[in-house]
Parts: sequence; C-alpha cells; structure tokens
Amino acid sequence: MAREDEEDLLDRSLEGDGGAFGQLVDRHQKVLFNVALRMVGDPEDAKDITQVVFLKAYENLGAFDRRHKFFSWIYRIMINESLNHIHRAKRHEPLDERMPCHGAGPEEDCERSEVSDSIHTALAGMSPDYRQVIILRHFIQLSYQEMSELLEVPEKTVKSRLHTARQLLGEMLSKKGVGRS
Amino acid sequence: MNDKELRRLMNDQLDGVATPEDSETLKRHLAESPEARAKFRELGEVFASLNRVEMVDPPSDLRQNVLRSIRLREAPAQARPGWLATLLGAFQTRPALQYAYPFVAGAGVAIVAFALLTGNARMGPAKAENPFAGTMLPTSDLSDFRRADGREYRLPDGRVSVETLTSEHGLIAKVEAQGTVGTKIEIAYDPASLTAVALRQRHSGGNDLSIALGVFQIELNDRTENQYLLYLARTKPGGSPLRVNVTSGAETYQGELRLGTLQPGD
Repeated sequence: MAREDEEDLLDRSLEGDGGAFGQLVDRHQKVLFNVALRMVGDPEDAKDITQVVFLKAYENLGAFDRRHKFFSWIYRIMINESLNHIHRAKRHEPLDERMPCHGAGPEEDCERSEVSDSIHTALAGMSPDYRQVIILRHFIQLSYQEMSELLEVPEKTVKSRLHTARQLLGEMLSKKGVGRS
Repeated sequence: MNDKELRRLMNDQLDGVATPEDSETLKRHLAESPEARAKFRELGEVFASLNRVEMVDPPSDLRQNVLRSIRLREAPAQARPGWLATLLGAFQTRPALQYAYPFVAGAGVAIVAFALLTGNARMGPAKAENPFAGTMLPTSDLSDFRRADGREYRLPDGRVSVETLTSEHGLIAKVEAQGTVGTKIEIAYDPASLTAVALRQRHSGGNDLSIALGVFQIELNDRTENQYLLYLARTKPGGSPLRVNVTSGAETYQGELRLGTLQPGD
C-alpha cells in the first residue's frame, strides 16, 4: 500500500469511515497478530491484544503524528500492550507447548512446524527486549535503522541486543536438538 | 580478534550487512580457526531455523470483532481519550479483575456464564446522526443496587427499557425488551472501566445474544417480554456512560445512561 493510500485511509477513518479503518486492519493485522503471538505465546491472548491495539489506534487516531509511519505508531501500541500483558500475567516462561504440528500436511510441513514451535518456545523464554529484536529483524524484516527508530534506541544497541538474542536462541535450540543436522 | 568483534562479523555476514572488508576479514579468520568455524556454523543454524518460521494467519473473526466494536463508537477525532485505555475481553478467563469476584458473589443471583453465549447475533450499523431519545423511568427496586439512570424507548410495536443499577463494585445493565422479531438492542459499555462478568436472563425466549469487546447485543426472535441483567464489574473508577442503540424496523433509537459511580461517603 502506497503511503498516500494509507494517508487517505487515515483521513477517512478519522471521519468515522469504518470501511477505511477496516482496510487498515486488513493491511496490518497479520503482522501485528504474529508479533503479539511471538511476544505473549498464546494465540487467544494474541488475538485479544491485537483487537485491543486496533481499537486503541482507532480511538487515538486523531493524536497520531502523520510525520511518522502508521505501522511504527501502531507497533508501539502493540508492544506496550504485549508488555503490559506479560507483566500482568507474570509469566516470562512460555510456553504454549501445545501448539500442534499441522499433521495433515507433508512430513516437511510437520518438521517445519516443529522448528517453529521450538523457536516459539525459546522466544517465550527470553526477555522481552531480546524477543522484540528477533521478531522485528527476522519475522518482520525491519532494517537496523527502522528498528532503532521503532525501539527508540541507537542502532548500536539494536545490533548488540540482536547478537546476544541470537546467541541465547542458539543455546536454547541446541538444548532441544533443533538445527543439528 | 576478540570474541566481541568476531561475533559482530559473523552476525553481519549472516545478516547480509557486512562490508566487503569485513567479509574478507571473517573469511581469513574462519580459515585459520576451527573453533570460529564451529561458532559460525552454529550461528548459521540459528538463522536457518528462524527463516523456517512462517507467519500465522490471524483468526478469521479478528477483523470483524474490531469493526463491530468501532461501529458503536464516535469517530476517532471526537472520541474521548481513555475510552479504550484498558480493554478487557469479555470472555477473558484470567483473574485480572480486582473487583469482579466480590461483585458477582455479592449479587447473590443465579447467573448464566458468558460461555453459554453463542455470539451469533447480527448487528446493523449504528446511525450516529440520530438524536438521543427516551424518557426517564421511575426508580426500580432491585436490592443491593442503587438505580443510577434509565431510559425507555417506545417502539412502533413494543418497548425497550434500559436501566443502570450501581453498587460498590459494579453495576447492572437491566434490559427489558418486547418487540417485533428482528428488533436489535445494543449496549456498549466502556471496557476501560468495566468488564462483563455475568448475565442473568428472565423470561428469555430464543433470542440471539452476543457479547464482544464492550458490546452486548440482543436480537429478538420472539414477541414475549424478555429481561436481561448484564453484570459489569468495575476495573477502575469513572468511565464513559453506557450507550444504547435500538433498531426496530426502519427506526433507530439511541441514548446514554450514567453509570452512577459511587463517591466517597455514598
């Protein structure tokens, strides 16, 4: 979606056009839901959080500074909501280990799902700061500069966190035997 | 080369941001050090594993829930700040509610858990341009609760009344409805300060009920009089009024009801 298209949708949403806001939801729901899922670990919680984030965004759309990207703004709301949820739930350890292998598919799909579950579990065992950088870099493919802007920390800090996070992740995956060929 | 610098070179290389000079330096070091090669291989496996993680599709009703919830709200530019400061899911099962349990216990009534609700109501769009309407009701007598506000809507072929009854920890939205099949009643509450914890029904026929994200909906399927008591626990003081939207045929009625927040000394 071009920036001007998004601007138009924001304008119409501000006028109360639910359809326009629906298009913004269409545009961002998958990424935000996945961020929430990786942050909090539970699909139902992730769904609740994503819904809350969109509603908060809608409610506060008038306060959104158009000089910034809409995604950056709503992502910050998402992270705050996720962190609040984590603090409320007081569970830094994860694990929805019940996430099923999508068994109906081919063996490769199942293996892929098992790797995904192991990553999911390992991420949930990391601190939110490390979890965030992995999510942003590897799942949303943001650049270091974009991550720096989003997280409001220097790029150097982003890289340092990312390096440590990958190292921790590697140790966790090794313990589970993931990635060993 | 120290460990920190080696780690940076490896990460940059696998991340695709290494300069040609850094790549060359790393290449030379890897050629000389079996230990570095092992570390590089391990880090590569982390990248490979991360690359295999696929995005999950969001639940199919996520979008619909969001749009349904904003339908009853004012346009964002006119919205009161803080309305959604803390939105608590109506079906949330975790004990996050400070007041919900004493409130429900204090209510002392038979309740129907929300898990019984099927969420199959359809909802028409709110007509924000219609003026608020309804006449004030006389005081209702429901023990343990103090009446805070009430509205009655005379429909072409029926009536709907809505009252707010308040107590220390929560309030009840009392809805009495009798009207033609297809009449829709929507009660929107501020999820920043209230969360739905229970529903009691009286004389309820086979009406469609649903509750999601701060909105309780009834769609009438029979013409008998029905009564619903929606129990709302306070999660923090204050909060926006209840908003009522009734649609019967081509007519739409809207209104707001005060919550009657108790003040110190009440």
